[in-house]
Amino acid sequence: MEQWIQLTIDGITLGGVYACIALGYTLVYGVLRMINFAHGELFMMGAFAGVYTLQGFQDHTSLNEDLPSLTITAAIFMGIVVAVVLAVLMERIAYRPLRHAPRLAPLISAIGVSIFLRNVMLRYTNARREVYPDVFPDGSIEIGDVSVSYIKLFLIGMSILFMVGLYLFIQRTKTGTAIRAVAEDRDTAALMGIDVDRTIVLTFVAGAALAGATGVCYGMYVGNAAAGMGFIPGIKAFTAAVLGGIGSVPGAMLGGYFLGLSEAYTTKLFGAQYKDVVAFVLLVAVLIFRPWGFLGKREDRRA
Amino acid sequence: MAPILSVRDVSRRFQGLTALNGVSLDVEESSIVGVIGPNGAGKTTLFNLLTGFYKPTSGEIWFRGSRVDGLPLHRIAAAGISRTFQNIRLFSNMTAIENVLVGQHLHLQTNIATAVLGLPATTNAEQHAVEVAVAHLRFAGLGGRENELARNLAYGEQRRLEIARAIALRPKLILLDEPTAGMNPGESDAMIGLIRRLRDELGVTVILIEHQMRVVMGVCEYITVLDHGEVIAMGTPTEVQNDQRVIEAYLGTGHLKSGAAE
Amino acid sequence: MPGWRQHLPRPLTSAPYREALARFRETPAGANVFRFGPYALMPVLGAAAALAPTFFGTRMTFLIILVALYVLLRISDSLIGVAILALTLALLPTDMNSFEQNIMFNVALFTLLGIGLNVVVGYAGLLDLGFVAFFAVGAYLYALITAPDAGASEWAQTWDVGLTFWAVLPMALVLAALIGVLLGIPVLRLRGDYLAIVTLGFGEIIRILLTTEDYYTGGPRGMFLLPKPPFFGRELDTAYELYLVVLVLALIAVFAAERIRNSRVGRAWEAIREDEDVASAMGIDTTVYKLLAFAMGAAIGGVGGVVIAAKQGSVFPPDFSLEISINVLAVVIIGGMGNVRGILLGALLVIGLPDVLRDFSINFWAIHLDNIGQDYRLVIFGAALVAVMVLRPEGFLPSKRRVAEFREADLLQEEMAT
Repeated sequence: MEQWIQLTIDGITLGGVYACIALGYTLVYGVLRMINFAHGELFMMGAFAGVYTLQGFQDHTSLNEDLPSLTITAAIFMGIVVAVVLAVLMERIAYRPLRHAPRLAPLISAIGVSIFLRNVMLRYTNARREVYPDVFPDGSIEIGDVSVSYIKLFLIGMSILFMVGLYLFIQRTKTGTAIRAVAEDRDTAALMGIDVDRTIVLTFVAGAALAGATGVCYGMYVGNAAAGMGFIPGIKAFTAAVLGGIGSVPGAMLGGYFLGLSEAYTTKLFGAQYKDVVAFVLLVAVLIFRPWGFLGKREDRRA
Repeated sequence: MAPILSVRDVSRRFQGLTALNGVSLDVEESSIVGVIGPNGAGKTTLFNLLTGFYKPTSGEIWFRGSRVDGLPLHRIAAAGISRTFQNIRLFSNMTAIENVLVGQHLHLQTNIATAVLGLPATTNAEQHAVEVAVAHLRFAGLGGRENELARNLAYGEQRRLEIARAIALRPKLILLDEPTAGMNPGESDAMIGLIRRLRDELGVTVILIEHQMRVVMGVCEYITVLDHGEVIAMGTPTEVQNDQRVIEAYLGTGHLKSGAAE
Repeated sequence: MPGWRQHLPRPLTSAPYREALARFRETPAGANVFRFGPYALMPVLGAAAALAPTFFGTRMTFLIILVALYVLLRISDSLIGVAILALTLALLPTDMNSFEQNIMFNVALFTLLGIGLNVVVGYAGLLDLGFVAFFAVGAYLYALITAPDAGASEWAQTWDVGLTFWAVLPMALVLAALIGVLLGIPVLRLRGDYLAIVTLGFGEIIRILLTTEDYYTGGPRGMFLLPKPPFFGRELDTAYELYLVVLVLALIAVFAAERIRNSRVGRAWEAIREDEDVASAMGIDTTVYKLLAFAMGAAIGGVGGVVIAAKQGSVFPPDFSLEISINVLAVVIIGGMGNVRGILLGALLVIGLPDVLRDFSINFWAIHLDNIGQDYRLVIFGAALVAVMVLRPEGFLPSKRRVAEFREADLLQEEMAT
């Protein structure tokens, strides 16, 4: 029993990460009907920005020991900044010129961006991992026989915080309303005086900020950053977005947790080597039986 | 004689919005039927239901003695219904003749194996298909434009190419969605001639959506009027023109008798 | 500094040159030069490319080959052109050292794979990011049913099938096509972008399964000591001989792909790529045709896998990583989607050039980059995919519109006019 509780907590931890990345896919898909293949790399770049910030504090100050809350906040902030800048650049250079091109073109362009970023970091780091300085207090909470480390609680808490933040941003702010309007019907939104280009950029920014911040927290959790770390979580987060219903914000969150839990239980039931297979099987299953996901809208074809 | 097409109490709703409500309609073989009505009356929705782009929420569609609603698009095409589109949808990066050759898809047998082997029979069939396609293009008045990319054709030519592509399917029923939209009177007259020849020379039954009353009254033998997703009148052009409900539906948007509505 | 550009030499495509060229073309002599010039040029270019390895170093050789092939491909749409091209390609590596021959083998292999993926991506417009899966299927099939006792998986040792290269080739073709269909059925009904992700996942899953299912695959230890193709009593074991095998397979694939493209099947694929709903309304069963494209691409990938297994004499799971899929995709995109002729050029640029420039360095101002070809190839591919999509979606060798079909139409017209 304790083991199952432990697995559930692991699943929720990982699920929160997937959900945060999935939100970026779902938002961009909502406004552009395009899968931003390079989104997983934003998560990776965020993790690198975080690790270099913390290493900088480590090398030049003693703030990592004296005031870890400040350095962690700074690291998360840098993760957001780097991811946002990259997202704006990629939208401007690789996607915007292709907005009216055949549907394959932006997809291939996005794959190009993803390969480029991943391999630039691979070369920059010489294919090594960058180790996160030990800033987060060790230790864990014991509830009965189950122990949950502080860092795990931190990751769970932060992912929930990020998601709530994004949800409020989408639902309550003017920009969020514009994003929803463009997702619903771009032409009508433009007629209503919404600046569509700006809204699309802001959508990328929102998704990137979330991915970058999650990247830093995840990096602290696993203890390092590596060039390949965005790829598999990226695919899985996409799966989560499809599970929940692509284009749906609550769907992405639900899908993320569902996938995280499925993976955790798979590790126990079938063995760790199959944990990457389960996402794929779920993806194919949902595409066959319910392509619009748990919470998505059915789309009729339009004549 | 049984009608070639029979629409029975068909409705279609989109998330609470009723686009068509209990529409019934019979079309006799070898007739030219017009569907008119104000914008948003459900005309194109009707076409999309007839060709399988949408499935009806309720009701049945019978074509030549078999039920076709809910069939996939290519099965309905195979049953003998083809169409053109209001917002022209050609294969724009293919040439005119290729567009028509795609329309012949159902009448050619080549598969991967025979294509690779390139046996004389295959080559001859292909040669014949090209000849037929040239004939179709000529029929639609596009002789000499075979090698032009569809997107480089003039607007009126694109409309005619859609018709050439549609007849390449050798349909029994052809649906034309605003065939003269955006045309000047001279072009419209040529289009009226082409529509008549579809029926007179090819024996195809024609249903068309049209806004130019001159065209509708000039070419259609029967007219169905839709408003707010319902049939409000049916009959010959003269009957429809004098129908009180039709006049009401059109009031404010233009006058039925005095030419172009909207 | 306004107007500084005017001091630069004008490019040959600028207006004055073009006009002069057009005037020359009008004259009788000019007309003949334009009509027969290309044919005269072909053997010269072919000879230059074929002789290059005798006289020049590796980098220079590949530069000459690249330029000669580019010009050949631009001017040739005749049988003579194809014959000269094939002959040049066959003769090229005779004078090469084994390093260069291996590069040429890889170029030919990726041309073959590129033709396969091009059927899927270029013809039917379906983005397949897991092409390596079919490549792996072919390679492991070869390893499993030709394997000798040593270096084989338990399954292969137990059954010891012992077929030869030539028997496995058609089997791999069929098996890969079948797996392609099985994978395609659930996802091809859906939008193209889902297919990209599912195939990407499938490519990764295959690699995981190759590692975990060690009873069949030997797991991470792989399988080795695989036999070479037999050929009239001897074995084809040099890079050059195997290069010729791939070259023949690639030529067959080009031939088949081109014929299919110019048939009803190819037109159906193109229609699906242009507008799937309308294609369907034209009576095309889009699911069946998409499956067909997927299966055909997979089949060619499977054949490529058999060849690589025979060439290497071994198979290991890391040989079948995502990078293979990316390389093949880059070959197809950079050569020009949907364009078989461009793929050869794409393979030279994407596969050949990085190997030639393996230890090339850039030392410029503050930039010091070593081993460009080896370490930075993926960085460059990534940027190239974006650049090609944004700047030149038709690739470096724009496809000539299919001419044959319309000449027939023209003929018919003339007939009717007289």
